[in-house]
Amino acid sequence: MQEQVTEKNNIITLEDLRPRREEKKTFSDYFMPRRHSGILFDPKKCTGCGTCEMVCSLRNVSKIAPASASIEVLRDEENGKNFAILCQHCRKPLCIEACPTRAIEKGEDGIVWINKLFCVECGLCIMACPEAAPLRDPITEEVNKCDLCEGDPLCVEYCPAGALTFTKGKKIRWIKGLRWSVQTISFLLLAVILVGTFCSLKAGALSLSCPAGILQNIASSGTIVLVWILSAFLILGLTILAGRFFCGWICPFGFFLDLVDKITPKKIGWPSFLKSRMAKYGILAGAVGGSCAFGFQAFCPVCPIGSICRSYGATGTLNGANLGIMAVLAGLEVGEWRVWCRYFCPVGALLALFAKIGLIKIVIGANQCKKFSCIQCAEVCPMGIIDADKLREGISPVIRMTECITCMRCIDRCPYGAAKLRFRWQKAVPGNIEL
Amino acid sequence: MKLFDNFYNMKVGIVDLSESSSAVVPLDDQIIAEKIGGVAVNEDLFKRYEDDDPLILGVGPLTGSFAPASCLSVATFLSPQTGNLCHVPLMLRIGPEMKFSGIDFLVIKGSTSQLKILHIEKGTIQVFSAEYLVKLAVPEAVQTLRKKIRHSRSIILAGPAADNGVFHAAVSMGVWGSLDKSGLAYWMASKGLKAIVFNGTGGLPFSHDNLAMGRKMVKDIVSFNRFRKEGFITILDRIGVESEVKKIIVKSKKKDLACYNCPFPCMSYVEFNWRDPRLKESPKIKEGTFLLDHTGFTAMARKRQADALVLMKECLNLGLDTSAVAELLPQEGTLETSLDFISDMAKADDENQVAENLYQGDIPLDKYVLFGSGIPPISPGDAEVDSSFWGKRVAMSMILGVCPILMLLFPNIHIANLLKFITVKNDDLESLQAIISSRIQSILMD
Repeated sequence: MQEQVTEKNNIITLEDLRPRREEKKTFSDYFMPRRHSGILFDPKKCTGCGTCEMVCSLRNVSKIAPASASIEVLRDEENGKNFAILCQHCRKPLCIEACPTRAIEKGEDGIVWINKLFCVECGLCIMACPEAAPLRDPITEEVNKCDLCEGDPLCVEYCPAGALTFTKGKKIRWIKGLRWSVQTISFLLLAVILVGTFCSLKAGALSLSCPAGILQNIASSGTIVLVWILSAFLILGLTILAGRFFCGWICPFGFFLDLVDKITPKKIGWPSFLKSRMAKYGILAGAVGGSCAFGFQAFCPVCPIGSICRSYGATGTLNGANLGIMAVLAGLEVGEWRVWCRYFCPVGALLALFAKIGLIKIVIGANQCKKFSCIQCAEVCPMGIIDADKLREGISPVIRMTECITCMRCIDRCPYGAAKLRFRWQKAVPGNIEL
Repeated sequence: MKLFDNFYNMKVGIVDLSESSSAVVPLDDQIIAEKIGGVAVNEDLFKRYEDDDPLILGVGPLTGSFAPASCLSVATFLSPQTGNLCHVPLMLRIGPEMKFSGIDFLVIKGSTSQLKILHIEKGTIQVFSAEYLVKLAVPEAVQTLRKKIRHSRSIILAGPAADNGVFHAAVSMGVWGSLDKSGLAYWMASKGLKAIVFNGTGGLPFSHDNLAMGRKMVKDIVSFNRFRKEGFITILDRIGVESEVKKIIVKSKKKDLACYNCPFPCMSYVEFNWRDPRLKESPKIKEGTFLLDHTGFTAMARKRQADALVLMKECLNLGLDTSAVAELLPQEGTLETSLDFISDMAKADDENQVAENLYQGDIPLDKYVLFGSGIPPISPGDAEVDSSFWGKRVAMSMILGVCPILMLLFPNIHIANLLKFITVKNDDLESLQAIISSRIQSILMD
């Protein structure tokens, strides 16, 4: 017993003294709305008066000393622009990881704060923060950081220009719940209940078909039948109305890939020479050309969507080759999200052509977010089409609707309401480039 | 505890440029008790050092506080243009930065043949050589200075025109120009002072009650029936500028900007497209400039309406007084000849030109010149400009350390309410009010 105590005394670690608090996730976190507190800064409204710095310093050091505030207004004299540096209370704060004494904590309410008892003023948090939001008091050398005045920020209250807004976060993640529900129902419907109907369904006068299949059918038979074209119109019409909504919400293979991504959330990435978004158009052209040359639908036998739709039940046709293709495609997901959809899917390629003339667009107003450390929209985009570097520079990225699968993860995740669904003819977010 | 203990550092900096030396001495309580601060104390210090032809920089008790637009610092010196004492208001963040850098008043005396920079931080003053800034355009000089002196939060700079000994040179607060039309830049350059850099890293307690009081006063301002947040244009409106001149701003305005703790932005940042006619193959480029000098811009726009913004920017870059340039510009001319004229003027190639009749308004010239000739003649209401009201409001704001433009724009801000930021005791308030009234009389009589 004596020995054990001695041993334990020798190995006292920071973990024993200040155990890292694990973020508890409940079931509701996955599907239910979650709130994210923070202060939004509108550079267009800011006049640079510095009232925010004054009131903040009053709280920090009980006197007016703008240099001791937890918010700093940077004034770009030559370009007449102002920008406020303040803590964004990131979802996964880098300052917490960097702090050697674990003095920085994230509370249950999402507020990231410095426990002054443990802070040794090393400044590593300042270096780790993408916005350098922890600010060092030039007199006391203490590191100060916005703690949202425990939920009632003075800077917001006193800003005469209304450039600061306190947000408890808009309701987020409800789209996620809805999308998963629709995807599950679609999968059950197309792959389990109405097996094989995605490729072709004929019920009386109603005729529905896969548009890529119809295109191959036309090519292989050399005839154009109006009913065939009309049968493909459901998905094509949906694409014109809502972009590649089918890919993001209905496609059973897309759902399968999303499930695989749940198992492999961390991606290793693929080398850039293997990635060409034009490849899918080549595959579509090859499928049509092959169908024309061979006299049968050349791609359909190996189509992953068709395979998954035809595989279940007594009439299931999933064979070793199909299984192999699906396993390979699932394996590709370790590199990136939705690899098949991004680079290879000929159905997606055909829909992309129609999405180009679609009625909707997604806009992300960098002026509205301007949160360099956030870029959550870029992180969650399964198609990898949101340019995080542009966002870091404060420029609104252009979202290519031909590549967007309208999954709306970006809208769902953005805590600042900067990502929006818009009609094509509507103006982009004010102050940003017209998309 | 004395009345003003929370409002001042109670320190005076004394710089002798001849010896490149500086000292920080305690501020006499008695002066503050008798004069309160700002321009009144400046005058007192000026008299003490009169033989040295000094420049006095000073702040008021409310400078840096929660009183609205508490941005003011005042430069008091003998104007080279009139030979009389004048007080130039320095706004933006100069006043608070000066106060938070640890000194309340700065006396600069003597002269040197080598240009110097004063750097003030944490209650100490350092004197550096400024040779590397000589004849650099204002933006380049500011940029260089910011690289050389870490945390140079506020800068008062004499530009290249002042280096060349131009009579109508004007100081620049950062790159933003100033309301200096009385030769402060000329004075600085003639004494060998290139720039004053403040790094206000400190602070003062003032009073916690002031926060709520400041907010109430902002509400009063917003509720004033003439409150219109249109930036620079609002002031042009109030000084009766014709609509053609205002249209220039309407077309090009990008953003309104305000001084320290001011709820009413009266400055604007504008953008314009232009092609430099002096260059053979110059592409059309977009540039921007900061508009702070209302009377200067008006004078320039009246002379060269189409090119007013370009010429304004050129004046700011070279550190020239726009009003004087507008007065001296030939009646007819193209953009190219105008730019050449400004460039020649900044080099003082010809004999130093002197503009006359710079101001012909309703306010008596001696009062207008006394406060630096840059404060716009704003009328209190719909009536004509009341010179008595104008003079009293400006003098009062210059004693207390708040922006005179805000005081002129909003006559509903009463002096008693401002004094409540210092004390709420009736006896003290009454005595303060009496002192201020007598100081205002004294300043205006001088």
